[in-house]
Order: sequence, then structure tokens, then C-alpha cells
Amino acid sequence: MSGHSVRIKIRDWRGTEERMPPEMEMPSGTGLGDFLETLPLAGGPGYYTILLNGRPAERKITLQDGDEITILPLSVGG
Amino acid sequence: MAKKNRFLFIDLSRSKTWEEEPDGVFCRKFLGGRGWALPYLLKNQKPKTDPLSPENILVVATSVISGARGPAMPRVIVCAKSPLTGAFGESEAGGYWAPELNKAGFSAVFVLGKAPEPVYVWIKDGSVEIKKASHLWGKETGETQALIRNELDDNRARVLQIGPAGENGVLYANIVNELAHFNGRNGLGAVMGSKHLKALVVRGTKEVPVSKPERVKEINAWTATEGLKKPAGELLRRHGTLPLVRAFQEMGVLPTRNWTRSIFWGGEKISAENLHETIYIESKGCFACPIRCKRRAEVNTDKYQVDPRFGGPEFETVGALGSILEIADPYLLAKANELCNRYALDTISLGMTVGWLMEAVERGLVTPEECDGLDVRFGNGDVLIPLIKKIVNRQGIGEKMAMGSKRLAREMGLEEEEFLMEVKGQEVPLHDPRAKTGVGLGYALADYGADHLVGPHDTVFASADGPGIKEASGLGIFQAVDPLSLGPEKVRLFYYMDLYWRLIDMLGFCTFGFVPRGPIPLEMMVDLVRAITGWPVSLWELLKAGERTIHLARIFNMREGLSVKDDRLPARFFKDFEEGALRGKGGINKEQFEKAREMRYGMMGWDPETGRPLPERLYELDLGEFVDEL
Ligand code: SF4
Repeated sequence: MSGHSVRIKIRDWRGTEERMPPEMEMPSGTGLGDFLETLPLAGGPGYYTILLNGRPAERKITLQDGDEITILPLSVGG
Repeated sequence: MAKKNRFLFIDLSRSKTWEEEPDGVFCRKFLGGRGWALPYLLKNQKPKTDPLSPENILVVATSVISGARGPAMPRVIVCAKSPLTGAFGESEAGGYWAPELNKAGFSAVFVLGKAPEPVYVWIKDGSVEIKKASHLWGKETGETQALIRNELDDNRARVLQIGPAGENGVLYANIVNELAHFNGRNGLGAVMGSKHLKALVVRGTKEVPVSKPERVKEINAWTATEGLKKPAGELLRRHGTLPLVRAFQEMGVLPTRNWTRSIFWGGEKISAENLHETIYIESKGCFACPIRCKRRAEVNTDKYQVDPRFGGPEFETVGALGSILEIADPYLLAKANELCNRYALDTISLGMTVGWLMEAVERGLVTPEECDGLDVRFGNGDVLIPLIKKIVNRQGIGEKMAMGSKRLAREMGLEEEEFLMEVKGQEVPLHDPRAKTGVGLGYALADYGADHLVGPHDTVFASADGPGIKEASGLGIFQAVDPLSLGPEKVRLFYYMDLYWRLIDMLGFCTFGFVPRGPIPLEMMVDLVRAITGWPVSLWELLKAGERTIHLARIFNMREGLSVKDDRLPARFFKDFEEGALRGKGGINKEQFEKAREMRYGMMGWDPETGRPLPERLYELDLGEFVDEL
């Protein structure tokens, strides 16, 4: 890994046909919100529950190397 | 030209039927479903009527728009005083029955009295016949449907029926149409059974007239194309409600082991992905709806055979019989679901009642002998099918369990124990209000007992770029609301969503079809009502209709003796999670909950202390004729 980037693991449980790559490399210092904006999330990040290392997190938090992001459908009910 | 709404009245005691045509103002003011049922019940049924007596009136309603070929609008709404809660009872089901009733010339059926012996009612193109059903009594739903269709020589007759659970007075018996679409909650199947009414069978061959058919067609085509590309549409189509298992498990909020835990060791086995691998064979839909979000399960193993005609377990069933009981075997869950559907038994109340018993046994408060020697404990799936059969046939421990968890606990002298998970006597569904406080307000305040389709699902409104704010701002919700808060902004969100969901229900729309839960926008919803009825309705007018019914149901419940103390939550929700991402948040704050409840009464125009509707509010809603009922 280069010194100027971080590797982010992605667990994609949206249940859509199109799948995210399991891992992505981003410039170090990237915030969670900015990272999510780079993903092809239909509707935008607000349409999903996003966990950072298993917990809800503020979008402004800076991502660290090895962080794991989980993308889930919103718990709408049913 | 729009359709005329005609009501069919059936007096089973006198074996008489007649029709009435409600006036146009009544239809527009009350729209359908509970809107048609509540005024009739308030005027024609005495307070404190025994819900299983002939005097309890059963209303099987559709709405002013039912029968048109629009998306997500197939629902039949059943209302009566509930034997489970003692309050106003209501339950909706999709499928095909409601449109067929309209094609046969009726918009609602009011069932009075009790037949001296079992009967079913055959409604065909405007004609009505009460037919003997002694030969069908005791039969499972699949066999009953086949026998009726054979007898009527009509394979397309739509059968809305009860199973053995309703016949035997199980207080959480339900009503089913097409074997897989349920009026699931409130025990209304027991009301039908108490009337000796096995089924309402309909067949209609006339198209329902619609004011602007082209617009309805356009909206259906939009749903089938653009709507299914939206996240909610695509998810529903591909997986139904099942992705919630994983979402809740990952968050650590999956109700597990009678709500003592929130992460299930068997979560992976009951996930959408594994259920699709193991038991599901195809998705199915309802009348004219392109979303097709329902599933069918089929199993052919040495131990279990599951017939796909009975549908397949959705999220609530997978949670109630799976994680709540710590049963992780998909084949067993499919079989238990099929049996419940054969007997017409509500799976949520079943799961919570069995879960209560498992915890009582594990705490040493109930002995194995009291459970007929069955090894009732969490994780032991071997007891599930025997317990279902005992409940339906009211044998042994099943006699007490057939009354639901609250009465079971009372019978055992354990009603005060904190592990009873019900509100107004109805067992709670599978959404943890500690993670979604708006859902908690819904559990506490719903007129028909704990229900998850009443308030907002808070996560949808958690961020400004989420579907709640982006797509439902037309309801007057402009800012994100914290899922865990119970402040004024949450109460307002609950108030607005309550009006909206009541409206969706009374029109016979399906909650999964419309924003923010589904893909169809608010404007199209209003447009559908306009295009079908020809009335120039506004969203404001429609929401007012929804609001009317909340007040009428409150009056009904107060007449029955319910009060503020019934608008409550189970004790367990005031405690912290034991595990998961929300551990440490401390559970719901009781003082904040009580303040929120008081504030909601205030917003409704109810006395903040007693929850009693104030006359001026009733006059504002054009409900002056009900002021004296208070
Ligand atoms: S969204 Fe699903 S449940 Fe609702 S009407 Fe359509 S197919 Fe039926």
C-alpha cells in the first residue's frame, strides 16, 4: 500500500444486482461522507444504513487504513 | 365514469341479506376501510360487546378506489372489536379478493349476527347466497379453497376464509385469501369463526369503472419501470422484506431469545441470502401490482414437505419463529409458516407467545409438566410444530396458549413479570423501538395494539439525503430527525406519518408501494385517487380523512374502557441492549416517553392527561355527530 492512500473494506448487503468491490483504495484523509459519495449508491448514501467498523458513524469522520464499511438497506419495516 | 359504492349487509342470524348505497359525501369523507367501519360500529354496536358474541359486527371493506388496475392497491381491510385486545380491531391483506368484490358489484360487506350452523357466503356479480359449510368446518385452508371452487365449479372464485384456528376461537386466528395473503393481526379470524362464517367467496366479471383509466395505466407503467429502479422498489422485488434480518443483525437490534438478546447466533441461516438458497422458489405479487414482492417457499426433504401454494415466510415470521425462539433451521421455519397458513394463525403472536413460555420455563417459573412434558426451551425447534398443533386444537398447554401471551401469563400467575412483550394484549412485532423510537410510539399508541405499520420507521428520516426527507417532504417533514430522540420533532413526525399510514390503509393501498417505504411518490398516490374517483381531491383532504379515523377509533376504545394506561410499552424496552452497536444508549427513557405521549395527545387535540378527544377537535374534523359518544 502506498503511504498516501488507505484501503477500505466494503461489505455490500444492499441486495441489488450490481455489487460493490470488496475493497477500495482512497487517498488518506478521505472522510466517510466523501468516500460514500464516490460509490454508485442508487438514491445516494442516505438511502442505506452505513456502519463503520460495525457501528453508526458521523459522515465527517476520517477513514483509517483497514476500516470496514457495511452497507445495508434502511430498516423500513415490513 | 367512476364506480358506485354499494354496501352488502348479511345478517347471519336471520339468514337475510340486503344492499345499501352510501351517499357520495360519506364515501368521500371516509374513503373506505376503517373509515367506513368505525362510524357504523359507533352507531350500531353497544359498548362492551363481547367480541365473540353475535352482536360483534364484522366489516370486510375495500375503498372508493378498489378494483381499479393501479399498482399496490389490492387490499381488503377487516375491522371488528378485537377479541385479543378488547379494542377496535383492524387488519389489512393484499391478494386478489378486494378487487374481485368490486368486480362483483360491492365495496364492503357488513356481517351481523351468527349463523345457527357453519356457512359460507357466495357473492357473484351482484347476487348473494348463504350456503351450508358444515362439510368444510374443521378443514385446513388449502382443502377448503379447493372444495369450494369445485362445488361452485369456478376455479377463479376468490376465497377469503378462516382455518381451524378461527373455528376453535384461537385469539390470534387470522383470515386468508388465496392461501397466502393474510389479515394477520388482532384475532379477527376468531370473530369470523364465532359467527360460524367459514368463508366469503366472490366472483365478479365486470370491469370496475374508472374516471381516467389512461392515467391509472400510466402510473402502473411508471411503477413497473422507473419505480422498480428505485432502491425501495428493487429491494422489495428481489428480496421482499427479508433483508431486514441482516440489517438488524449487523446493527445488533435483531429481536432474539424473547428480546433478551439482539444478535442471533443463527442469523446467517435465516438471512435473505440463505433463505433464497434453501427454501424460496419464486416471487409472487398481488392484483395488478408490478412490484411482486411476495415469496413462495417449497421444501422436499425427508423431514419436511412444504407446499408453495401457502406462500413463504416474510421477515416478521422469520423473526418471530426464528430469532425470537432461537430456531435457525430454514426448512422448519418454512414448514411452521405453512402450517400456520393452513390453520390461519398469526405468526407474530404465535412466536411471541411461544417465546414467553420458553423464557418462563428457563426461569423455572413454569414446569415441563405444565407444558405437557414437552422440552420447551430456546433453540429446541422440535417443540414448535407440536405446540402449533396444540394451540390450534386447544389441547393441553395449547388451551392457555391459544389466548395469547397476556392471558397465558395471567393464567400462570405471571402477568406482572417483565418479560411479557405485548401492548393492549397484542404481541409486539419484530422492530426494536429502542433503535427506532417512532416505532415505539406506534406500538404504544396504535388503536389496535402493538403494530409496526403505524408510525415512522425512524431510520428513513435519519438524514437529510434519506428517502423520508427527500421523498415525503410533501407531508411537511423537512429536517432529519434522530432515530433515538423522543422530542417534539419526533412526536410531530409520528403524528404526520400516523395520518399518512391511516390514509394508505383505509384506501386499500399497500404500504410497500408508497414513499417512503416503497417507490410510488406522494403526488402519484393523490393522482391515483383523482383518476379513479374523478374527485378533485388534495393531499390535505385525504390526510384529514385519515385523521378522522384516529379520533373515531379513540372514541371507540374509550367507550370500551381503554385509557392512558393502555398506551404503554413493555418494560423490557426501557432497559439497555445487552449487545450490539446501540449498547450503552440506555434503552427508552421512560420520562421522555411519557412526555412524548402527552405531547402527542396535545397535538391531536386530546386532553393531555386523559387522552380524551376534545369536542372542538371533533367539530373541526366534521365529526360533530360523534361528540355525544364521549
Ligand atoms: S408491493 Fe408487494 S405486497 Fe404490496 S401490493 Fe405489490 S406485490 Fe402485493
